[in-house]
Amino acid sequence: MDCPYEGDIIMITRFANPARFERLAKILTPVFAVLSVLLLAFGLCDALLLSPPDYQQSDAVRIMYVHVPSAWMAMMIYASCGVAALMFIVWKHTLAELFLRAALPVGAVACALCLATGMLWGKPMWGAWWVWDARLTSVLVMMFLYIAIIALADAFDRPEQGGLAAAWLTLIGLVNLPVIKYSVEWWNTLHQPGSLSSMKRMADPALAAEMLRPLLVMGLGLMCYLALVIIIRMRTQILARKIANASGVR
Amino acid sequence: MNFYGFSHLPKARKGFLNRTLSPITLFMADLLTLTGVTITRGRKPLASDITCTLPAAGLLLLTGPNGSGKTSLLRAVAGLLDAQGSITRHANIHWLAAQPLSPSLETPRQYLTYQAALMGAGKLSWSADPFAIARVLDTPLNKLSTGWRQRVKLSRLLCAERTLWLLDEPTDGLDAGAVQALQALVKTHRDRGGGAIIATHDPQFWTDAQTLEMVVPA
Amino acid sequence: MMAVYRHFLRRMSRDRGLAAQGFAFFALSMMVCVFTIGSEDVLLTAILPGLAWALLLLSSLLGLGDLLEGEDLDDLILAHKSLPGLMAAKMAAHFTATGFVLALAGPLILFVILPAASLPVLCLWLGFMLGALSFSALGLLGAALTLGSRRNAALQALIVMPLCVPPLIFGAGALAAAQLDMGWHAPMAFLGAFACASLVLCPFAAAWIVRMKVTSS
Repeated sequence: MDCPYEGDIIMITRFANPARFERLAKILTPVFAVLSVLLLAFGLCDALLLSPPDYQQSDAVRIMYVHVPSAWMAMMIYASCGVAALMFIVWKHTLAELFLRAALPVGAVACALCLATGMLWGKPMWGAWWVWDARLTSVLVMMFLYIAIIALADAFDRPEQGGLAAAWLTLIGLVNLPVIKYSVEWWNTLHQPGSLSSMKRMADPALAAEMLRPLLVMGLGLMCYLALVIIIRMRTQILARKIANASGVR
Repeated sequence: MNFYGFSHLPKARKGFLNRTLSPITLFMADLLTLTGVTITRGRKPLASDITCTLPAAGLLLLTGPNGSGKTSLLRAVAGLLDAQGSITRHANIHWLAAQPLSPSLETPRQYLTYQAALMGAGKLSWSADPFAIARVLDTPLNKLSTGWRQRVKLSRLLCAERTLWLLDEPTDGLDAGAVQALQALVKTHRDRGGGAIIATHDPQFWTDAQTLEMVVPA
Repeated sequence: MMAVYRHFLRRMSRDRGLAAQGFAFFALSMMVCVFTIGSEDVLLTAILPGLAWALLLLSSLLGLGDLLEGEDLDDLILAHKSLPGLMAAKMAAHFTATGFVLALAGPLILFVILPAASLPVLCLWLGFMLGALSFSALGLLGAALTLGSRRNAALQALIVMPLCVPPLIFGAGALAAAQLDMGWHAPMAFLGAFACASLVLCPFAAAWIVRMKVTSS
């Protein structure tokens, strides 16, 4: 069909072409692999051994170095899925759908990790595995959204329809992200406000430098690791589709 | 013959009556032009590179084995399926899918009233009753046989005025009398300048028609 | 549009007996809850109104399985009416058959079971109406999303329930505040705002999704 925006689409497909992605992924895979091993190794040593215990929470504070990065990642992956979903709906990019299918389970795992470590941290600090405050509830809703989207993506006989439906639900669920982010500020919650939640606090963090360093390193390391997993999953899916095409099965 | 007048059913709007008495097309132009139409399902091309024109008062038969894409082509013409190539419609359409009516508790009168409302025809009204459904109008659809439900479905053609009729397997489940009635209805429609595309496995029912033989893709 | 709405409502409430089923489901599960909680007045007064909110949500999920599935969507898309308008008619029919009935009857049931003085009737009625409206709107969205999928009903519950958390929280919040004789207007206003927004947005989103799914299939 005639397309008035052909120029734009060509520009975007330049970066969304599976072959080009393959070439890029071949370079990125070892880079992310090395980075994630180095960062996570250094970050874990720093977090568990070198950094000082908290003056109130003592050694239990070390859960933070897993809990906070995984929360960041759960939200970041959801946000990137939202962008991919929009691209898939508007431009029907195969690669956007691939990313969506590859990243959603990874995000769900990050979200589950965040919830689990949060519970482990909550028991010694608040005396309960779970409390119903706004931050916890909104993250729990995000977990259920992840599950719902993954179930929806696989529920169709025609995979492209599943991708489309999942993309829509991802977009709708984006509403939840700001609720999570600001839940600690909008409502009076038991959950403490983020230590790095705004630029102002970034400049003057509520965290000592010895604790901030391992936190950021762990965050970067986890990001590299999850990016690696997502890239591997995407490549696997591309290969699976190639095999399916070659054998004539759709 | 005036199909769209009013007899035994509730009052029709006056403007509606006046409008429908005029011939459908004022000038004899092509109703539909297909240029290089290709339909893909998944990665498999179904109909490829179809080019044809339907003139006013024309009848196009789509024939071919199961899975050759007759229904898909009809849906593409109706605008219900994305297709490559260009489909230019110069007429408004009536789309009758092949699925039989579901046997619900609704009566044919309620069903046809709903269809007329959907098609923007206001209240249901017609004078001719080619499929003789007048006596089952208030019998729930679940009490009617398949053939009668098909007659009710075909009666939708009289609910609103459309120039191009797209009929998918319209003779399924019909007895000889009803088939004749459908033939007469299509003929009258064509005499008034309307056109029709019919996907069918029984091309012998239709005379004076172009035929597009579709093939199953390799 | 009225004829179309009547058709949808007839399909839902008469063919599928949705109104009666929804009401029976609501009343029965209420009864089961009373049996399991125990029938002390103090306990029931504290718990049952909030529980009624949860049951309202569950009963609103009932009709979603074939809200769009049974209908011939081709006719809706080709209709000489706007598709969002038709989707809104679907939503209205679903609300009439499930939410509206329950919003009227639910507080009545509570009224019968509980000692009347303790029940914030206005808050319950208003909240149930607004809540049921938002549940129907979000349910329409869920039905559109799962259109054409294999495991419909369970999937719809999985999708719609997380989306229904905000109205549930606002509604239950208003109810809790009213039960404590505190001001419940603020959460009720939030619920109203959510209901308005979902009523306006969901038909458009559902129409877009349905059209895209049908034409790309």
